[in-house]
Order: sequence, then structure tokens, then C-alpha cells
Amino acid sequence: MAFVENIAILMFLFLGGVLGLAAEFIPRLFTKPRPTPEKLSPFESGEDPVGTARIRFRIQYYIYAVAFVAFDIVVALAIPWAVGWGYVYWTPIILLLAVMLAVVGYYSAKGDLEWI
Amino acid sequence: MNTQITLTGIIIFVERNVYLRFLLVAIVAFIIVSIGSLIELYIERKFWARIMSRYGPTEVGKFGTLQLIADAVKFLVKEDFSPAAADKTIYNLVPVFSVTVSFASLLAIPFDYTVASLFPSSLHPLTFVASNFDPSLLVAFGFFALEPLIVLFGGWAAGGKYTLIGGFRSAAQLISYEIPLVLSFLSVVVLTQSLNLFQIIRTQAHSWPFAVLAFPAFITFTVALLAELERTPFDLTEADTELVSGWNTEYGGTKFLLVYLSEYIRAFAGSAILVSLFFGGWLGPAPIPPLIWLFLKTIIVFTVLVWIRAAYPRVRIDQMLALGWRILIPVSAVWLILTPFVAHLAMIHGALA
Repeated sequence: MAFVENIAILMFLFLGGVLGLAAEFIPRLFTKPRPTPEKLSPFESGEDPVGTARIRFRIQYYIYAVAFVAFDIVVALAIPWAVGWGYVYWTPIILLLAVMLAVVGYYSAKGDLEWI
Repeated sequence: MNTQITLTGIIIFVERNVYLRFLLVAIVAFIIVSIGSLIELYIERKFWARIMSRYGPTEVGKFGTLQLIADAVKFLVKEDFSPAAADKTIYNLVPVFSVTVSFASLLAIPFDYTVASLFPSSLHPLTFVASNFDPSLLVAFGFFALEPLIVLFGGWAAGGKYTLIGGFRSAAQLISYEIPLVLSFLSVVVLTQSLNLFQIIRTQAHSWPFAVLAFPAFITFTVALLAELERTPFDLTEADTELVSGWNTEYGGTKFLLVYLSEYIRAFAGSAILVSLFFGGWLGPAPIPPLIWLFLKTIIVFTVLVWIRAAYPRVRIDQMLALGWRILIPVSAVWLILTPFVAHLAMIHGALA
């Protein structure tokens, strides 16, 4: 990748950021904040909010995140293979993906991918 | 001293300054995606309504065409506030990040090339094109893949229970479907030996469309893309009956406008990438210019997404995750292993250049 493409990426990020910030600041010119306790409280279907929003969440999300990290590395390793050596050297990618599939199968059989 | 400013002079000045040149490319991309998003929103409301035997917007403008402008103006004059429980800095920055990242994923889509090819070649040097670089597909998916982080931050920072649950669901869904998405586009990469969308489209000029050559990858890519865009069979993240509006429940005014806009920019970018990977991007019969072909194909793909939204009910979260891990990942991985053989056969029979 040549140097100029980095400038293109920066320019896209710059334009997106400037337009986003502008959209956030324009209404502050027209409107005056009139906060009330009801307006600033979190929406819970019209009821009074109960407790804090920093609640405990399922461990299941954590398991999926860990599985994702492991498999995403496999996928990231498959990218250079696909670009450079897609027609030759099948063995490494077959082994890699076979290991990944075996792990998904094991996960699945153990029931860790079930949504409890 | 001649200080006359001419059109050619301005063009040469912009062309020589690399920052101005790419800013111009970004502005062109922004104009295209704005028009695209407006058309998408109109299709979403009108076409969906017609399928459900409703009328959709009718009052503002002819056939309700100006309804979207009216909505945007209304968003702009809404009061700006942050909930008391919110983490204010992150809460205010998340919509900006979301729209920035979605917009940056348009970089790799060769709209700028199709716009440049509208002009006579003396007026546009090929340097105008920003999308023609080697790992352009990788860069686009890099920006695409930042969304779960933003969603997670947004849901957590808004300080509501619905937003938190919506954020977690969203992140779990987006990361689960990222793996089949990447595995299925890799089979196209094996066929073309390139991560450059430009190159991938050019290869399809001399071969069968990859929607035929890599049919299983096309199917898995479409399903995974539906989930990545959080569109209806997989819109658990904003399941209205359970979570009000998911992670963006607490966002109002222009913050909601930005979140909503970034969703449609992502849909536009996703449809355009699908078209470039599997349906030959800007390629098409001559009298219609490449820009119109690419735009038209993208809008048609989006219309099919709306059709799917109208036709299918929402899946449950366990069905959604089981589909991702038990079906899409194995199918796309097995197809990726088979792809080199398919490429070999296709080359022998002249289906792939």
C-alpha cells in the first residue's frame, strides 16, 4: 500500500468526523436545554427506573467473545493463504480449518454454544 | 501578472495537492452515499408499506418523497440532552464514531472510479481514484468490524438497562457472524488472488459472475451480511417488543439521526461490497454508465433486503447463534477448502480467466 492511500483513509475519517461533530453541535445553536428529572431518567417503559443500569449480565456473552477471539485468529491466518497461495499448499489451510471445525464441533457437543 | 482563475487551473491545483484530491474523493463519496441513503430510506418505508398493504408516507411532497427531509429538519431542531445516568463523554462521542467508521468503510468501494470515468480522460487523471489499492477489501472490513465495539460502548454508556442488554446482544451477534462473513469472502479472494475490490470486479469481466462460481459462499455471505447489518430476521438487537429500540434507546435528536444514518450507510456499503464481490460491480452493457450500474445494483440488493425484512419473522437469539456457529461457519469453511479445486476446474473449462 502506497503512502497516498493512507491520506485517503485519513481524509475519509476526517470528513466523517467533521460532519458528525457538526450534526451534534448544530441543534445546540437553536435549542436551549430544559432538563427535568423525568426527561433525564432512563426509559423503562414508562415505569420509574429500578436500581442502576450497571447490572450483572450473562456469562454466555463472555464465552462467545472468547470463542470469537480464538476463531478470528484462524480466519486472520487464512487471509494471506487465500491471497498468495490459494492454488497451492492446501495442507496447512485444510489442517487449520479442520482444527477449527473440530473445536466448533466439540464446543457444540459439550453444549457450551447453547443459549441457556 | 495573470491572476485569472480558470476551471482548468482549479482542477490542476486540486490534482497536485494530494490532501485536497482525496478530500474531493471523500466529498464525492459522501454525496453518493447521501443520495443512496435517502433512496434506501424511501424504499424501506414505501416498499415495506406496500408489501404490508399500507400506504407509507403520503402527505409531505408528491408520494411522500419529502417526508425524509421533513424528518431530518425535525431532528435538527430537537433539544440536545444526555441522560443523568449516562457516561456523558462516551455517550456523546459514540454517534460520531459510528458514522465516521461506517463512512470510512466506503473507501474501498470503487464509486470514485465510476464517477471519474464519467468525465473525458483529459479532465480526470487516474490518480483521482482512491479505491484502487491492494488490500482495499481488508480495509473496508476492518472498518466494518469496528461496529461491535462502538455498539457495546454506546449501549453501556447510555445508562439504561435496555441499552445495556441491546449492546451485549448486538456485540454477540456481530462477532458471531464476522467469522462466516470473512470465510465466505475469502473464497472469492482465492478465485481472484487479490484483496483489491477493483481487481475482483475486473476479473469478473472475463469470467462467470462469482454468485454462480462461488454459490455457497454467496449464500453464506448474504446471510452473514444480513446479520451484520442487524436487519430483520436478525434484528434481535433492536427487537422492539423486548428491548424498545435496543442499544440506541436513549439516543435522541441528532444523536439518533447519526446512529440511524450510520445504519443506512452500513447497509449501503454492505450491499455495494456484495455487488462488487458477486455480481461484477460496475460491469454492465455499455449505454448505461458504470456509475449507474453500480448504484442500481446496490439499490436492487438493498430492495431484496427490505423484501426479506417484510417476508420473514424475527428469529430467537438461540436460533440466531446456532445458525451462525453450527451451519454458517462449517459450510463456509468447507467451501473455502473446496474453492481451489473449483477454481482449477473453472479455469480448465474457461469459466474463470
